[in-house]
Amino acid sequence: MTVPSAAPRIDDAAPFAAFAEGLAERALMLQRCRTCGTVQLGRIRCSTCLENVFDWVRSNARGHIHTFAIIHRAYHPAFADRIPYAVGTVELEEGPRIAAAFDIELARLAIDLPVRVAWHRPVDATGLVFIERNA
Amino acid sequence: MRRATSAIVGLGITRPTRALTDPAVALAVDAFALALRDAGLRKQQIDGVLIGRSPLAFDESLGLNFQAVAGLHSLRLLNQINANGTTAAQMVQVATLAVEAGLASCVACVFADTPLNAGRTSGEAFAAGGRTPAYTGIPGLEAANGMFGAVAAHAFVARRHMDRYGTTAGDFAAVAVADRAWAATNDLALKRDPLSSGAYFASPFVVEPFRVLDCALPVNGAVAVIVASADIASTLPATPVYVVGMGQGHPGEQPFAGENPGAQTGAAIAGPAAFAMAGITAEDVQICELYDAFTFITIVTLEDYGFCAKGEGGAFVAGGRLGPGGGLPTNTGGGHLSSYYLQGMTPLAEGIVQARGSARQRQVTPHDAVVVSGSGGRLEQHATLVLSPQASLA
Repeated sequence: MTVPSAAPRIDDAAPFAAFAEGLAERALMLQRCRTCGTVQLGRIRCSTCLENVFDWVRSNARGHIHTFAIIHRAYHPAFADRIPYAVGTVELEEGPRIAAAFDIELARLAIDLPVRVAWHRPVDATGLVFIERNA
Repeated sequence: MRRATSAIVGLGITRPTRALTDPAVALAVDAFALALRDAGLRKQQIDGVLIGRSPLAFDESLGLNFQAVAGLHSLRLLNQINANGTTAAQMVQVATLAVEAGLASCVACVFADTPLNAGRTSGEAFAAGGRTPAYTGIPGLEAANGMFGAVAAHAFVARRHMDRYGTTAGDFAAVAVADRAWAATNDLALKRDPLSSGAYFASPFVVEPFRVLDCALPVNGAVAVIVASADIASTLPATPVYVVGMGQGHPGEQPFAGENPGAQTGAAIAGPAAFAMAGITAEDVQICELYDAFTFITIVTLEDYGFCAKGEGGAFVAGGRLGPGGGLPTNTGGGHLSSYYLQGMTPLAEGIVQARGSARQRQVTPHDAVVVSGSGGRLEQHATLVLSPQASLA
């Protein structure tokens, strides 16, 4: 019996452990620079002022599709039985854009579609899944 | 306006192949030997070496060790350029600047890549898995979502361009069809049989909206270019090719920042800068050799170089303008899509051949202003050269 290849997981190591830990508690956490207030994600230095102290703040986990693409090839064995599936980026209400997977009917995907994080995400999902929401 | 005092004097290309080859460093030496023969130079006359390779290369054999493997001594310039898809153009820029400043007199720029030696398919070779940088900043997020590599990243930008400007898959097809038409008489091209629009649409999706025929052809191979001072060039048999214009443009954080990320690329900075240095405008350009890892990159590059307005690139390419007999011959050897994908060395090599006037059946005339582009990362880096058989276009 072959062991199926496990899907890649979001890195939960420092300095971004709060992001993965937040997801486990149904919170989409963003970083806010303590010096200038810029809200951002995945930075070790502030993108605006270069300072290095952030507070983790909880986002509304809502936004709009910024772009999307539909994957038709299995680039990783863990995704072989999901193709075709959609990935893209979401522009969150707080400003930052974030990499996204979409649990949305492919024909409904559209730029600017309102979406929210799907806390009841598909059981085999290891990423950040968004679903459609009413505007 | 620039008058060049250095020139490209040698070009060597190993036969691009999908078969297994020797390691990249060996192919690099092979291309170097071909370039020396092309130039009429002995290796003892080379006093500078610049090395480039794909950042996703699975073959780690090529680096500064090229000097030892080629048995070169007394170099006055040695470096490895790592600028993603702009590496090819940047090597020529650095070599030109070094020679004209007197740092060296005869510089070899060598690039080799062997993505297919590990037994991977073409698609796997550049998917890169966990080696892609975490563009969101959160390591593993993109991979956990099932997003791997450059195809999806460029498809993201293409989707916005289609939504905002009405660019269509038919426009992508026009780019693919034109590349293939030019490949027909290039005996180095991997795909030379004619491509129809219908055949393009029959090609399966890879990452929608991109199909197989929207994507470049990875190969194992190497290209070397030799840049020498004008004094040395005047003693050599080949037609010198002068670098009369140079530019770079790197807008920064394209995927996740900016008003219109990726839809305007660094080409909008690099192209005008190179044209201004050469004393020309887009209207003076006779031949384009553009980095086309994807059909879409050709469209957005033409817009950003000013050949047409932003958003009109689809209509610009749709009428056969880029192909043989069209108004703006582009990728006259078949491009990355139909000849071979060596990360920007492909358009550079074809640009040199055209500028020399040695392209035979696919020669475009006049050929006094040839533009060469390089596109790197996820449309994050861009570099431009203007090549000419004239030292100045004044």
